[in-house]
Amino acid sequence: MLPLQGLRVLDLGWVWAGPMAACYLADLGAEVIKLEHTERLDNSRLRGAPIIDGKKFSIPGKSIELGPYYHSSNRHKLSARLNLKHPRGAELFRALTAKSDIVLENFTPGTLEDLGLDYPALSRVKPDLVMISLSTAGQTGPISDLRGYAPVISAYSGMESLVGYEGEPPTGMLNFGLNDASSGVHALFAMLAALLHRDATGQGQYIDLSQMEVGAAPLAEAMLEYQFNGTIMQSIGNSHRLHCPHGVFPCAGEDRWVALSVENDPHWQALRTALGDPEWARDESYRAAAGRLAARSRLEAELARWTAARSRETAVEQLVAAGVPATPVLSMEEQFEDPHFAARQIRQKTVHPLLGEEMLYRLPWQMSATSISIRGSAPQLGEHDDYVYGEILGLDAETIRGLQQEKIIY
Amino acid sequence: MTLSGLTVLEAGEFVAAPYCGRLLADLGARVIKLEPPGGDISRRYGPFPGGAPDPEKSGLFTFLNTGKESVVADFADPASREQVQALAARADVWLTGHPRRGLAEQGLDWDALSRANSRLVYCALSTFGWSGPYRDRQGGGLHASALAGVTWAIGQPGRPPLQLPLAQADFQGGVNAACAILVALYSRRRNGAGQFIDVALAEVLANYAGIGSTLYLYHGLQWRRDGQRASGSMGPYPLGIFPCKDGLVVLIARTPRDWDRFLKAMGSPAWAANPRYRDQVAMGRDYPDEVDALVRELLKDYNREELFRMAREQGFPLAPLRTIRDSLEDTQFAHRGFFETVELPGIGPVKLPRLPFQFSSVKPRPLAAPPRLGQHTAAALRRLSNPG
Repeated sequence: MLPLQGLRVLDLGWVWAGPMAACYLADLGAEVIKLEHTERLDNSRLRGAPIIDGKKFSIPGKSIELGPYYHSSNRHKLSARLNLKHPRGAELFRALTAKSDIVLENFTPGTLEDLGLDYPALSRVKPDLVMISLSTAGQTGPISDLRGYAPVISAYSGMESLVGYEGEPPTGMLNFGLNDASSGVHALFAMLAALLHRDATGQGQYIDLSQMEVGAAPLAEAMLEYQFNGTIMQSIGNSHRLHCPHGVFPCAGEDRWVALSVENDPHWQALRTALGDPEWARDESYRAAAGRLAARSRLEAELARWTAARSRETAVEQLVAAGVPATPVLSMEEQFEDPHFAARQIRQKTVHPLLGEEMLYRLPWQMSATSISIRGSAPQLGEHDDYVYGEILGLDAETIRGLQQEKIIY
Repeated sequence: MTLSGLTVLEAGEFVAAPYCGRLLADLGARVIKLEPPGGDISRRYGPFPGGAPDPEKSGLFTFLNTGKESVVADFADPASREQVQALAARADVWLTGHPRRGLAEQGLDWDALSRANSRLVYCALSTFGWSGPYRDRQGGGLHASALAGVTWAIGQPGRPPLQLPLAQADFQGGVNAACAILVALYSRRRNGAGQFIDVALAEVLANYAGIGSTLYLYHGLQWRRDGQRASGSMGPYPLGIFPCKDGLVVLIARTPRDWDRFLKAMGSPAWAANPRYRDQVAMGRDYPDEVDALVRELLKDYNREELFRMAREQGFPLAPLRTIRDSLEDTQFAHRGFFETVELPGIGPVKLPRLPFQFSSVKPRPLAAPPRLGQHTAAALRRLSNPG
């Protein structure tokens, strides 16, 4: 039995962080109903088509169902359509809330209040409701209306100011929506804590998550440096404040790199062994980190000469064998093929009815007694209209058709 | 509070396990930090006031360990180890960042601890995980980010790819572990049994980057580093970091509506009507440098805050690229009480970030100075010999 089985979630999330957080609840067994309006779909449906055998895969009229990005953050959910802007639609939403445990949304703050669907309104129909809002900057404050995507948020929080080469202005750009992913997982943590609290006390909860705060909290080290010493930390490339050598070094071939670190003095001895103890490495002052840091540019230049003379695989193999922490810098295609990730099944195969087989990333944890495997793909728009409005709300087929024709279930 | 009544033993150093422990402590769990005799390595990490190392004044340690108890335990010493096992026999959660093989030799692995306490949730946090071919490799965030495909796509083309800043891999491992622990506790209420959880930093980042990379497929774009733009501009342009009069801003004007609003705010330059600058996919794919030059020319006379105000008034996504000081002094964070002021002994008041979310009916534990090394050792041992 999955841990969240028996819980029902209404998912109004529509850009990465929101849908992803709801997706984790579905992975864990909750019945997650994704509610979308045909004229305002989850953004992830509009971003990406699968490439099969080097070609874009398409089915006329079905492009919104095929995106791997949509599947990644919406697997295991049910899909129903609903126009919340219509008073009858809002009424249906309140009726669904009365029969649910969690409501999740990531609209601009104020949107649901205008529709009479904010937490005070919804908790009247479901007093122990757990509701979470994920917004750019939080529900309150002078810029709470800010519209932002991950790069905007990580720029504002200060994160991007630390991404770049040493001694240069920031390069950025965090390419992979770190802030979205992190917000989704922090939201999951908050929801699980609220559920435990509800079970213990019967008390519901409203959670106001700020994605900007999610980005800023892990910068505490730099914030304390400024408060202690007045120094504004800048990007330092791949180097490290205390360890040396530390970084990404070129290997033979085009765009091939090894990530290598000497995190303590035994690692330095191991590196000397791996390198065959060349003359330059025997300097006594290099035995301790302070001496190595003082000679950083020389050490890194010598090391780069050594790595550049080897294939990435040989360099990693020789370093790891000697006891030096080393890893290849993998491209995405190489990540897909990596034997370690494959052994841990970080991606699992599933079948989508229109697409056939596809690989999806499962929750990145291994648990001995709870199954969090991929069990299926993402629903098609409105696939579960009849279940949601018929079985859950008890509307008859004729009423549902009428609501569909009036573009309320739409 | 949400997690009050829960006892967590935290046997892990630096950032990953301690961040997980901090999240749990903030919500009311009793987190007993088992430190080696020399203290958690983050006590030596700093930053320190005046740059002078002092294990009781490390900034990173302070942030990660507020709200916890500190008990010194030497896992290499059989007597100390027995005490740790006795603590684990009564705990709800064992959270560790130590290497797998050492813990097995010390009788502190899942098999040993769960035999004595079948309700125990055992969470192992590591760079590569406790299974698979790389399970015993060494390395930290640098390596997790490299293996995950994250590093590959950060930096300038033709120059070395870049790691994530300030142990971000570890923070992500920590929050994922905290979630998995709550899931295991949720399950435990049904059947009374704990379980083993294995969270790998490399796997967490591989998941994030892998999902992010699917965004590029629609335009047939490569996942690669592209300087101050997302890879291949991620389709429609502009999406990137641009200089202005007094610094940098991020501009995301990928939809015709946002692009139009931006151009209008910039006084509708003559070139804006040229069809060459209406095809935003071609702009990103074929001549982004040319577009950059035009955008830079527009931005050069404005400073960051002016641009931010215009963006908010006219509704297009743009934000200043802020420094750490800007972030600390930010009015939005201040309005929400995101920074809590804590008095640190021998240092004075500092602002620490609290949880990045607020609950309507639960107050998190107030932040306080972190424990001194071994501050709670004697009390913990007394409780062991004097249960109840």
